[in-house]
Amino acid sequence: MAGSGTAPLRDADDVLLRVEHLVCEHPAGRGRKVHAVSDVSFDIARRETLGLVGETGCGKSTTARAVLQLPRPTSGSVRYAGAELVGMPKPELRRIRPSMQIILQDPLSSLNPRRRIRDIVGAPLRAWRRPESQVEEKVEWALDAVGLDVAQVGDRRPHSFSGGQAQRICIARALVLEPQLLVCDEPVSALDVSVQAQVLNLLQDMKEQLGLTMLFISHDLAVISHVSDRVAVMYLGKLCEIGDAQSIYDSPAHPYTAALLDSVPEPDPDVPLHAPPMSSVLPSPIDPPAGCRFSTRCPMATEVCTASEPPMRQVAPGHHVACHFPLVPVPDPASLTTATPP
Amino acid sequence: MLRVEGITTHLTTGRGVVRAVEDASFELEAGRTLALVGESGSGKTVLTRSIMRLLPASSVVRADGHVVFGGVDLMTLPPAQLRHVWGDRIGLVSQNPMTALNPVVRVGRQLCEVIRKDGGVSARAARQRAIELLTQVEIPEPERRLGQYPHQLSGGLRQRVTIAIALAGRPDLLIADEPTTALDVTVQAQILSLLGRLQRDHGMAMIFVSHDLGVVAGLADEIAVMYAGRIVERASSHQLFHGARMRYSEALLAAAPRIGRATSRLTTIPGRPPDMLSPPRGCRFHPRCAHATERCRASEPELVLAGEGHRFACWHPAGDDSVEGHHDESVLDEPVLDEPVLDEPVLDEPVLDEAPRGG
Amino acid sequence: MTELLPAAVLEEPPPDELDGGPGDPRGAGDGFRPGWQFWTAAGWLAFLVVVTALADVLPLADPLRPDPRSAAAGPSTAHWLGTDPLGRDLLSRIVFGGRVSMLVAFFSVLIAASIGTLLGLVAGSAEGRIGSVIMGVLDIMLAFPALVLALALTAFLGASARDVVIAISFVAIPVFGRLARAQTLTFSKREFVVASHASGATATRTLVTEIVPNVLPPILAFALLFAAVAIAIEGGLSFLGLGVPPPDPSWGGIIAAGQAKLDQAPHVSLIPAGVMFLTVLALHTAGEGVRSHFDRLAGVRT
Repeated sequence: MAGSGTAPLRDADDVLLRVEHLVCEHPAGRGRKVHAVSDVSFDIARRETLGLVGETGCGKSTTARAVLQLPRPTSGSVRYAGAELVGMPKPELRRIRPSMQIILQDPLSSLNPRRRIRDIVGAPLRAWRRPESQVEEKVEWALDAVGLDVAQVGDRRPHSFSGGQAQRICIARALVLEPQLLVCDEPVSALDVSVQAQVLNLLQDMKEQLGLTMLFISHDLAVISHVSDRVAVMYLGKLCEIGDAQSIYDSPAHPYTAALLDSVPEPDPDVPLHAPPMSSVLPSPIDPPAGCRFSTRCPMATEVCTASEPPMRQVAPGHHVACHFPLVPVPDPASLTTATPP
Repeated sequence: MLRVEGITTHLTTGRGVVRAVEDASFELEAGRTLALVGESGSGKTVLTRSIMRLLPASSVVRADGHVVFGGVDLMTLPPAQLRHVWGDRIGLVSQNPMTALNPVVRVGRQLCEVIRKDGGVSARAARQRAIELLTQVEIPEPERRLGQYPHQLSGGLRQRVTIAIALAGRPDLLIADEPTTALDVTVQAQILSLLGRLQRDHGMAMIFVSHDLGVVAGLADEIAVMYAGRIVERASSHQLFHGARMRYSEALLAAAPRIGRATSRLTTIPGRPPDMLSPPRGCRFHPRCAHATERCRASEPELVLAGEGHRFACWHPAGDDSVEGHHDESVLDEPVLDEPVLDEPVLDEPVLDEAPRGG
Repeated sequence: MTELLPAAVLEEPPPDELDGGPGDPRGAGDGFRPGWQFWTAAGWLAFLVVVTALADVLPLADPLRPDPRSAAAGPSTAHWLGTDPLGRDLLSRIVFGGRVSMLVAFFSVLIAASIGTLLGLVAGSAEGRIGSVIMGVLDIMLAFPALVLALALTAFLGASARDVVIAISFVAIPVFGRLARAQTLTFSKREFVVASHASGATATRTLVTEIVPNVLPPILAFALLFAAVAIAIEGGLSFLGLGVPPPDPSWGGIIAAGQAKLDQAPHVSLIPAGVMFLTVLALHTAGEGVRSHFDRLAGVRT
């Protein structure tokens, strides 16, 4: 299938994760397939945070899990620190896993209700047969790093903690193996606003302290804007736009990105309510529209849009968009620099 | 048109009595929107259920107060008359359209059932009205939708159907309880826009419950901020966003991540929403407040007036302290918290009379 | 609107506020705090176990020796609970019979639970067709009615306690198997299992450290309940003459023997029936207590 292209991929040495032509499909009964992710390519440099944003059904969570091979994608390439993960034999993949960890959306569901906190946080270390003394030491360090006292929380069970605290425990568990890549799948969506800020600050602190590289998934544009260096926008299994966070928020090139930004309610009573003009009929990932998948809802769609899928093109250094008629005009290729700034 | 006075609701749960709402009061006129804003445990949902007397009877330990709606106190009405009020005068849109809609009944039938509930409407007229309502809520191809089941519609469309049902009785008051929380942001924008338009067209009053200040900014004329069962600030939308006085409101506004605010670190509110089985003594927000003093721990502030229609309950409010004129009390005004208020969470022992313990 | 709205609203799960807020540590504690019903039940069961275990040492009359002078007699100083129609001491027969019932129940449940749970765990977690194959076998076993199987076994091997154990185990293995598999499947989808895989734990390790601790408590609770069923089944089989053969005592056998004299000497049937009833009830109560203890440990609010 004609993909959106790999134009945004960078050649730099410090790229930690490189995803090319990722496809995730699963059966939907009666011979049909859900095209959850259809040919997505992106990369993340070391110590960079890529924010993956999109609405329900866009495939962002599926992408996150596929990167970690949980489960393996249908096809495509995922290169982590140079090693190809897709097709890697299981034992070898297992050995790489400590380096790539994940934080999930529902913190209480991510913790085994029948185990104690110290056992939960220590489990990854025990899985790798680290000596007990080291396990205890690391558990204490990890819990302390997230602001919890192992003496007070160690012997308790997950249900006695609030959402925010449970998420901190999940973060502690993820950090205990000292990963290089941290995938966060909607880590604050289930939390109260006042607690969201705490957890987001914590993630930022951990990223700086430990030099983490992050893939941060959320449907909340405001949250994404706070944590991301670069942002990728997904719609119905495809990548619409990818680029530096500032560039995307200041001048979105894809109509969908613009609509998303437009839809975020401004906490200012003087700004009147408005909804971007878009059809409220949502297409299904089982039977996605032909050509550009956003064409059925795009206010600017033409025949060209339904006829063929737009390739990824550069509109500014470090900013690519897949649209036939982007809001930011595609400059003359001759005037573009080939190297994108880190 | 609606006057709520002194609503106090205590509920019993498996683990004790929860003082879900304490002494909540507000007024609402026709055509105006009041937003009830708060986080978990704030009591906002229980308050709306109390107003409508829709609480499960077995859980209610105490339900005081008056709800004067169109001149009649709903708290004194017998159940039969109350049902009339629910159907015709008050409409409810709740958070999850899948639980408000019967999954095994077609949309059209559910809508017509509501339209014909009081009798006197023929099937054909009901169908017409149903199509009319679906058009009003901007559902494309309304005739086709009548024959569909709820699961065949997207979340946004389902919520529109719920709104249509709520509007069927031509209510004077619409209560929307987190109607867009479960929806995508683009759909949310459309539903909010729709609600605003419907309200203007029908001249309804609206109570909009949300945890998201951004969502209510565009819709609400007045905002009531709730914390731990109490209304801690009540103001016009303008007054709140540009000059919140109560420290929790201020902190809530500051903590919400916003596009365009280029700070890398968010302002946080330390600790977490209180345990409603035994909320903190004195001002319920004091364990998490950077400006708390001994006075805040000792006694609960009353709602005081600050400007036209702006009420708040705080001993040390933001902005000028013109309300807190006299500092002649023997109580020291230095913060008496045991440790500096950090980003560390307060461990979840219910804060009773002790100082918050750091983690 | 009247029918639609209030019911719909009231059926919604109570908002978080009604639960007293998130993360309340009280009420969902870690201590073992069952009610008086559990302790009474546990007491009765402990008493029963001790008495039947020590049956040989206790000063009981010979359960096999008939006393023709006092057939079907009521309670007296010589025979505390009276005698059965053949003049054998009822108390002694009930105690020795109880030993049979307890042993049969214990071993049936032990065998069925172990094999069934193991099969269920494998069926629920293994990839490929193993799961379907195992479930197919279990379904076939499930189709056997215990009674018919017992009949066949007795005809083939001769009636004995061992055959009762085999029969009950056979029909119980698929029951435990289905339960274990369902629980395994449910928990395999939970995020903490994903997290375990993500940390690099092997599938076996994840199964043992994450899934098994969640599957065992319901199995354990069910095992106690099933023990009660096993006792009742044994009673029924012995009553029909398919279980422990006379003259060895068993609860079902004693009840059967007393059937003929029900109007003159009801105590012969009623007392062992009462004891059996109490035991079944005690097992049910204990099973409930175990289940609710583990649920409370895990924060499941009942």
